[in-house]
Amino acid sequence: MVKAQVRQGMLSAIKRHFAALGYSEASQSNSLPKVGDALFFEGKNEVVCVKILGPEAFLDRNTFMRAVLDAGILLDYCNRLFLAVPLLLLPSVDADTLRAHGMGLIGAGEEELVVAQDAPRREPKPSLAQGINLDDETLRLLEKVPILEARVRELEATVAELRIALSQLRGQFEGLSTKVDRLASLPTVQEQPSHSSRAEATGASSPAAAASVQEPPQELPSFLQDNPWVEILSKRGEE
Amino acid sequence: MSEEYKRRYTFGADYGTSDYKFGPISLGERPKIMENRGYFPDDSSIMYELMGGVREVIVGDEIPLFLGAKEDLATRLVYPMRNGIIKRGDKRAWKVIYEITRQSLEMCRPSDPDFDGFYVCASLSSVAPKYMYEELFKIYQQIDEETGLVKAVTIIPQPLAVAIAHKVPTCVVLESGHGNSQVCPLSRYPIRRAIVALNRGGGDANNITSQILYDAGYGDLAKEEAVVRRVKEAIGLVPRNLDDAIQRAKREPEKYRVVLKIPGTRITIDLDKEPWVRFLIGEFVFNPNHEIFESYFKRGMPRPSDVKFGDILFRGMLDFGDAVVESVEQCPVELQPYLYSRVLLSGGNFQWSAPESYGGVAVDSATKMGLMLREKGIEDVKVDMASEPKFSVWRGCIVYGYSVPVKYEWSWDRMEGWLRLR
Repeated sequence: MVKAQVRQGMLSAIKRHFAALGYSEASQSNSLPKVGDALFFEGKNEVVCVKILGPEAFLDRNTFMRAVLDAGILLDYCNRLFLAVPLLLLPSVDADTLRAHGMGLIGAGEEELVVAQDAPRREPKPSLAQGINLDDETLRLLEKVPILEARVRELEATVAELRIALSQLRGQFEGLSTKVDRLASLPTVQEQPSHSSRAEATGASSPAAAASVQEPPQELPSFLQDNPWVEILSKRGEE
Repeated sequence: MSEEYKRRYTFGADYGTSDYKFGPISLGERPKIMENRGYFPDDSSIMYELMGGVREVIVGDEIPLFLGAKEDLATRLVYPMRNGIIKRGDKRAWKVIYEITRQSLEMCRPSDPDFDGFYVCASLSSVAPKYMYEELFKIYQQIDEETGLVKAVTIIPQPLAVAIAHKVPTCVVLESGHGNSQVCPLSRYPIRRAIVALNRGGGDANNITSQILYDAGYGDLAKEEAVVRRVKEAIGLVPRNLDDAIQRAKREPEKYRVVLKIPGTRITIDLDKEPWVRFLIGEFVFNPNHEIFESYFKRGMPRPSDVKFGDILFRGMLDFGDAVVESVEQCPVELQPYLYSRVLLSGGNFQWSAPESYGGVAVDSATKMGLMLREKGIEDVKVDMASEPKFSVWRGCIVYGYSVPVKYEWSWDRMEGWLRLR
């Protein structure tokens, strides 16, 4: 309860401070990294970010370290970055170290705000600055990139296989063309008996029954058509 | 249940080493594909929580969303069929098989109200032991009890499926995948007693590529399997004759030089000084016995060793030519000429390019295999590379399921027929 009050007081003091300096509060885009409480202000041709470290960040060393390191990520998304800590805890934070890493330091209480260390101005990374404007749809699409890459690899493999198949088909086509040319050059022969009358003569089963096994309809895949295995396998169990 | 029903609802399932190809006959020429792998997420991860935290294993397109740190991949990402064989007690591997099988069947559930389950024809490595058949049948039984999606199931060896897909009733199929290779002669049935298994596959070609990268000063890349595989596929060449190819490449290094840029990275690999090593990669796949490889073994590259799985001995150093001869010579003498006259190569480990600009110094797999067999005194040899090898096993499964009569029941003696689940 107390922690929440302190945090609320800090937020109010920070907003008042930057409003007084002529900055307006900017909304935080979804594309920003999730680093807990942070306020963004726009004005004077720059974006200022204030990362708030509430009292809970000072409970143990690991929590504090994590919060400070998280704040560092924001350097790429603004021109100036401040770390805001509760006013009472301001003396326990080393402003020089923060300055060395490009961050400013603010101590904020409910009524009072102290800028212990101003933040140096820097240019955010262009790609990331643009990234702030990415909408949810674009982000969802970006998440699909690895899957799409895998599919592209798959397509590449398929194309390679198609090339092999195509070259084989070319070979077969050339062979068939030669045979067709040779047949065309032969003299005309007498007409043969019709297919159905030959089937009757040899006592074959009805054409419909034969077709169901040996002559698959056209809509069947190519690997099933004219495949001698269809007949061999359909007799399994009869041997 | 009629033959017509079975033909309408035949379903193929090819458990390949990297990909699982599946789908019903209605798909036409090509199956659906799912990576044959599963990820066992860290139950403390954020994604696990977000997704409800109830699934033990993730399969399919969702895997990238769950992947954690690189160090975790080795333990959490399971490729169950990496070596063609799953150990009986490997619960995680069988769990992955269950998940991909169930998911694939669910994906293909027809809307037809008359649908009463698929006739599934699954395919396993020809060296898969009997307990793998038993485990797979159990999985289909369980899935049918839970979903009603499987009417009957049968399992065939992958080389038989390859031969069926290529419409060849009598042939020798040489299948080479990531972990191992198998030679299987067929004459309407697979001749199981003549199967020769090799403990050598694409993974061994990766090993020598890794050593080549290390020697060329790319030691940091040599440890990354994905990079090594890409390099192997891009620069590896199969020599017509290794000694001759090395001499030529040493005389004209610029002609055989290759500069490889890994897309999406800053990595560029340039074997400018010793492009002749490109021929070692392809030769090692076909014949690792050349004296030049000894220096690599001495420096720590693993020598393919003989291992035994169940009753089957997987030979490490047997060259592919000897393997085919050894397999064929276990078949009746009268059959042998017919087998040599149609050798079918299948599997990703035979996908090597032979640029025309190298003037026949580099050859494709079928040419190399033909040369090796002729060197051993076999005269009438015809070697073909399976077209679309990625899909041929699935296609063979569809033809098998479509053709074998419903009344032909599963027999453990013949290892054939339909196992009806209800």
